[in-house]
Amino acid sequence: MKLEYQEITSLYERYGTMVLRRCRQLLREESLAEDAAQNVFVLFLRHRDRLTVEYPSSLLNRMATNHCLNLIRDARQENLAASAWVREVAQSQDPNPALEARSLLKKLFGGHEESTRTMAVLHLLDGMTLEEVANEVGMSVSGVRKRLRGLRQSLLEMEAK
Amino acid sequence: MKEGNTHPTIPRWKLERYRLGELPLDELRRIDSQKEMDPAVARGLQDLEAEDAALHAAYPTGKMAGRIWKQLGEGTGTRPEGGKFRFARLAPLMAVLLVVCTLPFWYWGKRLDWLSGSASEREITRVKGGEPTLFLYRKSGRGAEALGPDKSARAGDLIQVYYHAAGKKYGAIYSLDGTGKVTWHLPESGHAAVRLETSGRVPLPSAFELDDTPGGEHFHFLAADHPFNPDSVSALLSGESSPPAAESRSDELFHSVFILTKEKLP
Repeated sequence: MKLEYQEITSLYERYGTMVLRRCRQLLREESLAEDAAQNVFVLFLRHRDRLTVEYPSSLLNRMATNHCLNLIRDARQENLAASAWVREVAQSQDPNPALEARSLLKKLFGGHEESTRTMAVLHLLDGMTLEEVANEVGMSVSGVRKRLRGLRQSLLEMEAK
Repeated sequence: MKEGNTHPTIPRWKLERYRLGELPLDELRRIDSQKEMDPAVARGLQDLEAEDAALHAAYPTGKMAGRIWKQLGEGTGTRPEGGKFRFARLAPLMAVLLVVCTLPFWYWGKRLDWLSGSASEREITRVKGGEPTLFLYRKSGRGAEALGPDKSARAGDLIQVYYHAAGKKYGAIYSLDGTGKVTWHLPESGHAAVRLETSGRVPLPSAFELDDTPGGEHFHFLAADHPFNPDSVSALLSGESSPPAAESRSDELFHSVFILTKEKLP
């Protein structure tokens, strides 16, 4: 479907500050956050025709989280102001490697499971309960708990190395 | 460690979605009442509003939307000439203006010429500390669901309109259907702006059933710190009257539009 410029302004007007807030919170560097927020909207708009979300804020927040974690993971640590624990989460191996290998879009739009790292941020940084995380990502509470436990194990193993 | 979760009882992500109206209705109501009783909740919301205003000032919509547009690649759609809005393009009544925009009287020297002003000019006139906003919900089997850019309604749906006055004292709400018919929702007569509840998400006295008129329905929320005549404002918006008297131009009238898209009937 043809994209109208006003769709962008509308979307940004409504959700821009939320996405920026998340990017600034994780990246802690203004120019990186600005670029990241822009990329999140680009990603969202490119695939807007496939969106069937009830609340765009939820999806955009997770997309922003995942995108920033990827940036943190891929960046040289000394160049990044992100907090230590966020860096650790970003660098961690997802307990489900096959899942991690899937594209973000496939996960987000195709009904597949969410990145465990994103779930960890929702739980630890945002203070969502396990139930809220489960609602957010469309999983069972026990599934979320299991995944987070796996991530914790992965973090411990990283520390031990 | 938990960062960014500054409010002890309602986390920030939830306050953020409360402001967007993107929480289940029972949750919205719970925060509505909690806000009245717990000053910390009201403060948390005020902080968010202030932060939003600062972020909008630092990262203006015009600038960011332009960058996003560019990154998406030209030729994927149409952008108004020179990257500016033109009223002619918005003629199907701001069908494309999905979110809040402000209409300071000062700009009304020519008919809606503010739309062709530069993005930075428009950003300067942004609302300080939040914007008057409309929220629409439709009754569904499991309660009520928020309507929005990605959630359309259909004929027969029971729609409840809420407003958030963001501190404005007077307001009026009307809708315009696909045939151009105007329906006043607040007040029903449309002859005078009414006193608004200045905080919280306030439901209109009654819900209504969406009819089968083809095309979307555009809900307009006009709000100001002073009384005004919504009839004349709506006429101005539709180009049927002259700009308001010069003496009133120092005041600001806030105008937000909620586009309710309708699913086509089979």
